[in-house]
Amino acid sequence: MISMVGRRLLWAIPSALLITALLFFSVAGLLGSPAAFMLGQDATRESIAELNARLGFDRPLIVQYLDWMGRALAGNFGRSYSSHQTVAEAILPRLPVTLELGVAAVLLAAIMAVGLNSITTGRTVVRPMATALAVLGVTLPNFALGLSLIFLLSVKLGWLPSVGWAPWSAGIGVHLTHIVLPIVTLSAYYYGTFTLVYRAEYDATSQRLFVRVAKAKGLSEGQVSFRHVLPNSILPVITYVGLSLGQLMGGAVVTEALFSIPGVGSLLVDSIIARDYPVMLAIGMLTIAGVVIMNSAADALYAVANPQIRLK
Amino acid sequence: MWLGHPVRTALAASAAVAWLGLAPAAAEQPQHGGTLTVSLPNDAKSLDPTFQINFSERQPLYLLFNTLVGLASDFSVKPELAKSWEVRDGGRLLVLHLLGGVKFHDGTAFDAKAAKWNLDHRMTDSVNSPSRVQLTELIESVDVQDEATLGIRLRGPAPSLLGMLAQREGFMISPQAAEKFGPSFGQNPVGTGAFIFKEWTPGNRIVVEKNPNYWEPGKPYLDRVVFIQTSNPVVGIPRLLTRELDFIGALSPIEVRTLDKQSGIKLERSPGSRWLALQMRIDRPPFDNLRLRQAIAHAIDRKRMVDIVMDGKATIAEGFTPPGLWWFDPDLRSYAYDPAKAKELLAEIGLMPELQLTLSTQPVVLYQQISQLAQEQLKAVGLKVRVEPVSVSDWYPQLIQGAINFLPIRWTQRPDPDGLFTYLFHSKSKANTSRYSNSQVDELLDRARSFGDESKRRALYRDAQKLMTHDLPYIPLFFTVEYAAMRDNVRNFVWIPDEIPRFREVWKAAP
Repeated sequence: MISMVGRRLLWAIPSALLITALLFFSVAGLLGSPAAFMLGQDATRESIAELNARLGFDRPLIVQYLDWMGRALAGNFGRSYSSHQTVAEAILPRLPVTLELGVAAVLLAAIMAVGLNSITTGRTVVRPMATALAVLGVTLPNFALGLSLIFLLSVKLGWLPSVGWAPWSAGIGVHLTHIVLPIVTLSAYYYGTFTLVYRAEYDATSQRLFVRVAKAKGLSEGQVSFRHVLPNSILPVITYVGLSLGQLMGGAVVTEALFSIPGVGSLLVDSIIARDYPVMLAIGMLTIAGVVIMNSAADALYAVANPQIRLK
Repeated sequence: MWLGHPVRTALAASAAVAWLGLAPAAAEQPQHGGTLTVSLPNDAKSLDPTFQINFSERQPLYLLFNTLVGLASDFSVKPELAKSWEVRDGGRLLVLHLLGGVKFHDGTAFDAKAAKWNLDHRMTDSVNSPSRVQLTELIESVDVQDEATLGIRLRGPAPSLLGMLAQREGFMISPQAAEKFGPSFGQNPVGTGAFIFKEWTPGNRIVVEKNPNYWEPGKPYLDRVVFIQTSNPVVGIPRLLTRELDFIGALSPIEVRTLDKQSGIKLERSPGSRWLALQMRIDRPPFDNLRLRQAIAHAIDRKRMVDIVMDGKATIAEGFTPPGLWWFDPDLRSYAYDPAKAKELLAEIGLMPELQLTLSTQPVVLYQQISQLAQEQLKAVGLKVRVEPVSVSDWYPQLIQGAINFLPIRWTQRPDPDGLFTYLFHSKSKANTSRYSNSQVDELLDRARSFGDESKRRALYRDAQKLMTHDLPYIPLFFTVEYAAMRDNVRNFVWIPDEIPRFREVWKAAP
């Protein structure tokens, strides 16, 4: 178990190098130096050249990248070019927001997917509905769903605010009513994928011998479904939850923009647009770390859910 | 004899009111209190005016800070932190007389020393302020004459400087706070403004609160202004309907169509002064050929563009200046839409059939629409045009390098014609990216560059504009129009021709 996590972490290093290099060379190579952006429309040729020289943007890209990497490895991620904050100051306040949104959305999606597809009472009605929802979730783009929800629940019914974030200090109730819409919007897609994965596994498990034995023992449909089929079908969902949470460390760009949520995703987009390399690269690294940590956590959860894995 | 009739008098009175542009609401007494929520289209990067580049991000700055001088709604310069000013030494020295008793939010005094520190700070190389070049081009040195008098020694006559001091270059920040916070001043702004910085959650909101010790008596009216980051009008408009927003600026005429008849919402049209044009690089082929430029100008149907892109609501540009500014010339005419004439000119040049123009377009909806229409209209006279995307931050360096030579571009008016004209059209200007060079125009602009009499300057600028319009370094298209949509209880919002919304004087009536 520990050696597995160790191996994972070791693999994270080349991945981090690759991702940050890709990010840096594509953005810096294709889009050019941040100097023109920092100076705005009033810039002149001289002022751009001067700022490039002063900040070292006139050096070869590989030198600039290695310079950044060297400092990053020493723990110095630098300052944002546009806000002049340290990278930690720029990212850290946004991290809990992204985590809250991501974790809540993925958990909601997982619970709904597993729950709706395991329910045995009224299955003939619930199942087709669960399927329809899953198809909608996977096919409907996030912004279209978000806008429809805003139109229906905020504009027409006036139940929920369309601004998707209020600080905890505004009160727990206020905070929660603000974040409901974005969580639902974001979870729709994950609900769709989780349903597809879970349903296939669930149906396969239902055919297995021990399920028939359980039924033969006289257990109710519900007991069979929740006690025997569910625990034996949930592993792939756990994998997907882990993967999804890892990806979400990079932020949920569209949902964040739609609901004005101060998360990591909007920061990543802004930093790419502004050629704010220190911030952009740090978020790249953070995403890698997120994927690795969440995958390891999913593996650890496997063992909890399924004793067979613990024994091996 | 009918004048005594009460109905007639009332009609005459209301006509007079309408003619004066006074809505009946103007008689209302301003109410104090309340929170104004405003949509902010971009994520603000910094609230430090020293480093700010984005236009829309300047909205909070006008609340937190004062500028040395201010701008009136007709774009004339008015007193602000400087209560008066004069020009001495034949235009070589600008003396500003500052208000006494003004304090920054941190309690330190605003005086000539603080003003000098601000200008010097922005002009210091190592600070890397985007305002540096603009200021150092005009200013030789800044001296404190006494506590309330600031002397700005100029390199030459600089009529555009006052206007700059009313805009980004003139924001006064607290030197002490700047020293205390260092690079994080942008997250902890301290000024003398009507509102005090309260909190900023990047990506979500900026909150400013009323400054109880503000120096303008009785102001501001609002208790609080909250800027909510709203990525897109598609999201902003529903928020206006749910009252989560009181105000959205920068809406296009197309976007406000759905709001036109909404109850509870009112629209304010911007002055429509931002100049949209097709820029060319005219010092090298193919655009060094005046007849080609004329052919293009004749081929462009500006009215059709305005109808499609601006819902017919924008003013067609015959030159560079919108009606209403003192250097506007009502008699100026650019090349009229005349495709037959365009074809004739092209036949005269005998252009080779392989000539293909590339119209470089930033990923901005307005520019994309203009490029597509221009492409279609030029094709109709036989010119092949390719529309090619170029990123927002790259068009400028690429233009300088000559990698792109044909593009739609929009410029915001400056309070003095010297600002934009010398900047874009003088052959010695570093920002003259079309590489236009006409010694007569240079001379006219140089002569007009004095603090002198407006009517003399007007005549010189009219002559220069005639030459520039004839020479066509840019093909003028139209002056873009924007709308601000707000809840109908928002009062006293006034557009200024730079089209950055100001909220310092706004108040809210009971809804």
